[in-house]
This record gives sequence, structure tokens and C-alpha cells, in this order.
Amino acid sequence: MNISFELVASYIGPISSALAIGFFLFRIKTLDLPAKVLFCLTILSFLTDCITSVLAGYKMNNLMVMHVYTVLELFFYCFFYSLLFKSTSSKYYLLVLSLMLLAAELVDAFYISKLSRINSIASYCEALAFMVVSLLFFYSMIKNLPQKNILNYPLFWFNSGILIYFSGNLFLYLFISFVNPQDSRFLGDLWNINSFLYFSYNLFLIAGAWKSRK
Amino acid sequence: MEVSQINWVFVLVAACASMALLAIFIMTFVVHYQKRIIQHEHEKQQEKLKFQSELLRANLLVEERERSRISKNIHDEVGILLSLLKMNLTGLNRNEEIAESEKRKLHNLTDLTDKIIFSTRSIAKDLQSPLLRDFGFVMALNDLCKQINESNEMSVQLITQEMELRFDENIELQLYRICQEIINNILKHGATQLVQITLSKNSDELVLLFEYSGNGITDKEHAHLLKTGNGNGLKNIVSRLQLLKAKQTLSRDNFHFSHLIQIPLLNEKE
Repeated sequence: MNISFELVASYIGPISSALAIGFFLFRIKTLDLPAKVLFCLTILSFLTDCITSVLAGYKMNNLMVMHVYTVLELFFYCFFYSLLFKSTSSKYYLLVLSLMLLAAELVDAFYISKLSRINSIASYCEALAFMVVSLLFFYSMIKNLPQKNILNYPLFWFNSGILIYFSGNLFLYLFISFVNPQDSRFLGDLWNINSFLYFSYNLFLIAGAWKSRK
Repeated sequence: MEVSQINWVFVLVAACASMALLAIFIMTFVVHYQKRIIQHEHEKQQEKLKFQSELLRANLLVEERERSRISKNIHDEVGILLSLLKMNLTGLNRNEEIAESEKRKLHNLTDLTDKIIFSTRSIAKDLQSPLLRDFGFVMALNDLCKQINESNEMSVQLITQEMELRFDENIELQLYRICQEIINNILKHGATQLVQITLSKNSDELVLLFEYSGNGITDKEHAHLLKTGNGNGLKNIVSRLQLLKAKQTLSRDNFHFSHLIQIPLLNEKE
């Protein structure tokens, strides 16, 4: 049972991002700019998955790729949210946030975790930051009521996906650290559960892409 | 059970719990969002209704002002000119140099002028009743009934204990116009000889009841007439009732029809 779970977990991430890319391509004409940003990020994530798999195949350390991906990812999300929040002050705060997260990633990569190890501190910070930003966007939606039926609003689905993915990840990292941070077997478990979170995130992206209409 | 297995179960349970919490959060958000949308729509609807009511009030006010102006002009200008004309004609009639045949013509002209003066006065009165302004709605309604009774077309009885009742000028005007319109409708379509109007007042409402036998309509037919775009008079009544926040009930019992109007008596502030 354990083997089959790991097998499913290792394939479910890339397959779901490929599916999301397919849906984005299917709806490419109706996608607005924020959706296109997430589309590019999904492509980037898919490519990262492919590169890490190839490197893992050659028994090479692929965690450096993850460090680079985390930096790119945080800029994509900051850009995505800067398109959603209309006020200039919000855009300014997002720029500051992206620079702070970049600094956290650099410190983590070069001084704390090193490039060859998992960037857990940067991941905590990123997960926490985007969890808060997505909650703020939920607040902004309830305040501005952008659509009559919220279920037809693509940004609601995208934002829900981001909230589920990042808050799930945050809790996951915290629980793993709390239970047994030294046990290498838990790193595998962490990746497996992360893959399922990523799968659900992609499902939300698919729902958002499906609801995109100009 | 091994320690690592316990840890694994703990992680799995914690992950499931956090996912469930997030799902609950999103569902709550959706429900709350839809509630806010409904509330927002309701507020918008209320604002629209308020705006329409204000518009209606303004329209009726303009209409009444115009009526008043026309009535005043007829009374002060046309009325005086006609009186002068009558005086001159009477003077000519007294002139003995005019032949008898011409005098007959002049006499006819004087009669015609009398009729014009009478018609002009009643038009001016119709446009704005001086009784309504000076003695209030009940007295004006009583006078209207008398006028109709004098015409011998129909008999209208007003039954009330509230002859001294007075309201705000605008409310009295709306009540008077509503009664005028209803009586006019009964005159035109009712095919009846007797109409009974009962006016009563209790602590929270003013009740006006029109009863007659003949032809009439019920609530259902009234709604149909409004829907099909017929009955400008009925629309006029509905608009004025809306302004007074009043309600009307039209019913029938065989050939006996009744038109009940209930006007809430609001506080000064309301």
C-alpha cells in the first residue's frame, strides 16, 4: 500500500500540472492577464518537475533547481496579486513582500540550509506570506462583490487553490518539524503529501480556467 | 505500533484536518458572499424604489402646481374678461336704440356668456378646489358629492363622523384626487344610481369605502388592466396610493362592488 501511494504521489503532481496546462491552452483566448500569469507559472512548475526528475534519474542533487524555482514562483505570485489588488499601496506592499521573501530565500540558500539542501525556512516564509495575501484577497472579494455568483469568478478558484496549497504546505512543514525533523523518511512523506496538495491546487486552477470568460 | 508509524498517522490526520478546515473556510466564504450579494441586491432595489417614489412625488407636485397655475389664470384673467363681456352685453341689451330682433340675439349671447362663465368656474374649481385648500379634504369631498347629486346623474352619499378632519396639504390633495378619480370611474363605467362613501378613522389608519351596485372590477381584473396598459385613471390612483403608502382592495359580492382604501396614519417624522 505504501509503495502504490508513493508511486501515485510521484506522478500526480506533474500529471495534474500537465492537465492544468491543457485546460489553460483550451481557454487561452478567454484568459485575462492574471490567469495568463498563473498559466506561465504552471508551465514553469511542469518544466521544473521534468528537470528535477531527470536530475534524480542521473542520481544528481536537484534541490538547487528548487531554490531557483522558489524565487521565480514568489515573483510570479507577487505579480499575480499585484494585478488583483488595484490600489497603489497594495502594489507597493507586494513589491516589498517579494523583496523580503527574496532576501529570506537568499539567506536560507547561502547561509542556513545551503543550496544542496531543502529550503525549508524560505518555504515557511513564502507559504505564510501568500496565505495571508490570499486571505486578504478573499476579504477584498467580500468587500467589493465583483460577481453575482462567486462560483463563476475564475479568480475565486485561483485564490482558493493558492490558499489551500500554501496553508496546507505551511501546516505540513510545521507538523513534520514538530514530529521528527531529523528523520529522512519524513522528507519523502512530506513530498508525497505536498504532491497531493499540488494536485488539489491544480484542480482549482482547472476550475478557474474553465470559468474564464471574457 | 512503531514511533515512525505513529508520526506518519499524526501527519496524515493533521494534513486532513487542515484541508478540512480550509474547505470549511471556503464554503463559509461562498455562503457569506452569496448572502452579501442578496443583501446588496435588496439594498439596490430599495434605493431604486425610493428613487421612483421621489420621482413620482415630484411629478405629482409639478402636476398640481400646473393645475393651480392654470386654475388661477382661468379665474383671474379669463373669468374677469368674461364678466366684463357679460356686463357689456347686459348694457347693450338695455340700450333702447337697438332693434328688437338684435336684442334677442344679444340676449342669447348673454345666456351663452353665462354658460361659459359657469363652465370656466367649474373647470377652475376642478383644477383646484378652493374648499380643499380652505376647509380640508372631507369638506371638499362633501362638496364634490353635492355637485354630483345636483347634476342628477347619480346620487353620492358621504357617511362620516369626521367632518373637521385635517391633514397635511399634500396628503389632502392626494386623497381628494383619489376620490375624484374613483367617483369619475364609477360615473363612467359603474352604471349605477347610488354610491355610498364611508369615511372613518381609527388610531392607526384612515379608511375610505366606496360601495355601489352595477358594473365594477375586482383586484384580479384591476391587476390585469394595469398589466395590459389600460386604465390611466387606475394608474393615477395607484401612484397616489403609493405616495400615501396606502393599500386598496377591490371586491365584489354578486352585483355589489366595494372599493376599500386604507391609508396608514404615520407620525410627523414618517
